[in-house]
Amino acid sequence: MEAKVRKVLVWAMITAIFLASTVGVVTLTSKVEAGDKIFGGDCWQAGTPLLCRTNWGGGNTVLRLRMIDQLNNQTLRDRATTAGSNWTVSAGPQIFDWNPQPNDSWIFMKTNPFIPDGRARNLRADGSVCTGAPCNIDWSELELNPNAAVYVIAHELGHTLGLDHHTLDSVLMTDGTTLTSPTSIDIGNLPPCSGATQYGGVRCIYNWNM
Amino acid sequence: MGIRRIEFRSKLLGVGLAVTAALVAAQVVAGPPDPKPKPPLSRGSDTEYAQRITAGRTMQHRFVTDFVAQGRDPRSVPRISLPAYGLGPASLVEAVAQAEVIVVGRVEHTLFSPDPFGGTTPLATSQIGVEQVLKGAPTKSLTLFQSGGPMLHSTGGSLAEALIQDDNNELVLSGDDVVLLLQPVAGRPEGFLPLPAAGVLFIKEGRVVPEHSNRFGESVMGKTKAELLAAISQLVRGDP
Repeated sequence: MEAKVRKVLVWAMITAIFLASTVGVVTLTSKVEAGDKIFGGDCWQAGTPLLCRTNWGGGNTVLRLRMIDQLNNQTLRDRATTAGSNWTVSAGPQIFDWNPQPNDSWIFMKTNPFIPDGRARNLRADGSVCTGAPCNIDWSELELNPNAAVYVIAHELGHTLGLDHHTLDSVLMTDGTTLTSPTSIDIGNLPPCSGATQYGGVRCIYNWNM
Repeated sequence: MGIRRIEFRSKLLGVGLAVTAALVAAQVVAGPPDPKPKPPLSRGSDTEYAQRITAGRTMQHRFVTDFVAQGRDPRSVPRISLPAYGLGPASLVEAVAQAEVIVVGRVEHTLFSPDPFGGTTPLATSQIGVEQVLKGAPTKSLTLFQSGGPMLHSTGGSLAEALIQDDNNELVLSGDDVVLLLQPVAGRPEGFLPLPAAGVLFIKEGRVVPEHSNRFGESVMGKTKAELLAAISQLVRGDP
């Protein structure tokens, strides 16, 4: 009887060691990966691999962006209206508007004579500037030289969505572009994130499946 | 036969005990399942959102003000270039044609100040001691404006310090020897901006070091200062 108990205990120990080295790892891994899969646009999640805006409701929901006019320049405002409209009428979740929208995400549009053309800076909720992905964009500052053209503004609005420069083709997000509207490459493929990494577009960032 | 059956039962019982114990232990260690992450469907009221933005700007303004007040060296923090629109001229010929003023000089001092337009990016104002004017009216000094400076940044983790600049406008710092290809600032006759990507040619140990984004950088990289000045002077004169 004593020998039987000893055998049971020996086998229990062997199995326990085996389980500790396998089940334990599985348990730890599944804890890290718990919750939703971090697909394009799960921007609210800590650890999102993307540069994307947090004020957004998830896949196939619109992203409302309020352009706040601090330009003091009617010509620039008109150009920004055109650039924003060009994005809004394109595929993707983005809706740019000067008017308040529910739960909108803010972009301060400013005139800055000390920059040659234009640039966008994205900021986190703690006020730090995003210098690369991952970064949860809470608000943006889009600064324009008084002579900035529509294509400069349209390009910079793309940065506020989280898009980086595209280097393989001549599209809106190519540095130095003179296009005024996003191309199919700036918008991205269907289904979202299909194709090469450089062809993600806003569909991939925001999991826009339409 | 009987002994083998007993051994098999022992193994089965042992494995069963261990599996049960492991499952209980795993549950205790892991705790309850993580709650499903929730999107911030509301960023707060407009008032709360605006207060957060104001606090962020105040933090950046305080950082640059303290950085200057403490006499910190801008070369002591990492320099990070962020995208800005504008490729700049494709050749030295184009650059010389586009520049209204071209000077050779040394940066006497650079002062960083909070964004005069209320944003987060600092303004760098550099006083240039002019050694030679290659194009434009003669002058002994001029003011160079560049947007950029010390900021707090993040790539998803904790806050870090950096010298933030546009990728087509590398900041000059006190003590730099430079050749500057400049354009006027709209509404600010006292100062100048560098041409995008090509406006600052650094002279280091007597050799030309162009900005990283300079499209004709390879053609001037490593030339002596004398060779560069001769080439520019020739273009300014319109010599073939």
